[in-house]
Amino acid sequence: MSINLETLTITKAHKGLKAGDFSVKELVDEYLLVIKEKNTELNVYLNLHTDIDQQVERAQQMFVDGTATELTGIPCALKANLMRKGQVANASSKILENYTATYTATVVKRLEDQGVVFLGATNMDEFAMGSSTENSAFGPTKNPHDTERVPGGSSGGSAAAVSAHMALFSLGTDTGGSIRQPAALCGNVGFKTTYGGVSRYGAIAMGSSLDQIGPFAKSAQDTRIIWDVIKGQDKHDMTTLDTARWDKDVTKQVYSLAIPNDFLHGVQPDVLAKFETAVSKLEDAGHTVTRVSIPALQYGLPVYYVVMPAEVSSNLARYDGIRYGSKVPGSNLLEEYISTKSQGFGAESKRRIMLGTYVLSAGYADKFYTQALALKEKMKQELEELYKTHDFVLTPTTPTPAFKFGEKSADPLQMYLEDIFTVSANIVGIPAISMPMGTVESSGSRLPVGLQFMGRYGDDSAVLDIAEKFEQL
Amino acid sequence: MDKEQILHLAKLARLELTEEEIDTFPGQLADVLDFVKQVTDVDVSDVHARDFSLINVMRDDEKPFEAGENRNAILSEMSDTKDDYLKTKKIL
Repeated sequence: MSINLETLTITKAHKGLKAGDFSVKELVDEYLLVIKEKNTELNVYLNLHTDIDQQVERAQQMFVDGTATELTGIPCALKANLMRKGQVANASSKILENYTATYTATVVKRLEDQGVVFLGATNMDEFAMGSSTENSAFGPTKNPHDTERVPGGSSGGSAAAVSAHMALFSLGTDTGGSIRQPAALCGNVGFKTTYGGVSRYGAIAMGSSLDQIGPFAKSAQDTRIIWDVIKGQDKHDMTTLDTARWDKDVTKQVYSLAIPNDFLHGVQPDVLAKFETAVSKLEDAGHTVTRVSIPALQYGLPVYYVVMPAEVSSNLARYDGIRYGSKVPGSNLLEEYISTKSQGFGAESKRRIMLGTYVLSAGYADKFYTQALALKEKMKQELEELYKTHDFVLTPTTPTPAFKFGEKSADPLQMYLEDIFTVSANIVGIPAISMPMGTVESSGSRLPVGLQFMGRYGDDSAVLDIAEKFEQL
Repeated sequence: MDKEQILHLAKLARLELTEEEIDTFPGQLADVLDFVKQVTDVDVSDVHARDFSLINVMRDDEKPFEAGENRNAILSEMSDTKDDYLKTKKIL
């Protein structure tokens, strides 16, 4: 039988599987067929998992046993920096090219327990550093809406997988916007949870105080189904929050939304027009909209480009070629270490390691790093004040739709500005979601753009609720 | 930022740069540092240092895995081993 993947959601697929309209194998085969047709052109998957048949069999058995849940048998793509034991997880880096995961990430384990079928590892910017997947050591991923354009990044492969119907949902990581920005540029839902909401155990670390794992899905409702399974405390990640905190109902009938008006001047006019249309719809639905000034958001990007490289330079020091990963032989240990890193890392990784080394070096650490941490605290305090009277801060997810390959890759700072609206949520640890808000036209292509809701710390359920409400408008 | 500074920074970071990187990095890093310099202009004297007192979360000192459960998988990722030991160049 043929399944319409265009309109399929997790909820619909579950109904079909439960009613016996199609089997897990039939569903998975549909996706594998699309992968076979499109992957050479789009470069979404770096590799497929080697045990798909066994996963399918196990999921089907759960339907026979009556232990199936909404996620049983649902095909999922995994960003290449998330580990599943026995499968290659190379973070799109030459330095980890043949690395096979020796343990399974907590989020993956939780989804495996539900019978989710993992199809493979998706392409990304090397070690999650970038906004276009152009920093992948294995070539960029193409945007399914226009193959001359980037899918966004760093989780570009995971975003494209959902939009190109090469998986029904996927997981990515978001350190400064790496889920929300590609979700916006590929036209699906991308959710970054409160810091500590989801375990990072088994994610290849980039900026540990900022990284969060989160889903890409076709709808806000699907996103909630995934979040319900992956969230919660994990003894393997000491930054995870007490699971009981998610039991409190934080949803409301109508919400109070704040728009940082003075912050939107760099947004492309047609994207801004889409944004204003979305805002009007929310107002018409009874939500209150206030135009405010939030100076804290201005600090987001500069603070990010101090704190993140500092953490990157520490996290990437582990790739010594000795315990895992590829090694370049040398005459002594130091020479081996330097050659391994120099030949294994791409240019962007090197740039950020050096920036981090700079802001942490003697004489500069107080000027940059300590100051950035204080500013992060200032941002938190200012936003906490705002969230006393407002439920969400609303912005476009990105200032522009998907850009063309090469357009920003020669100028790192231009690429960094892509994250202007998304980084602040990572710095202060609050939940944020990108929802599709229509398309704009650019040289003959219809390109999706996204609307971002940033919620109060810990109010992830409210973020999903406003997203669900917006989706219905 | 000039070429000499970039090479010093690369040395601190234990990196060797290609000729192209030696040409392009000074300008690129200077742009970024110029941009992030705005953090140094903000008055933060009113900020309480809440974030600087992090708390350790410790798990019980129990056996997390069966002994040897992951040994072969981990060993097989190492570039050089001898009799179940990791082998490296001498460090002293």
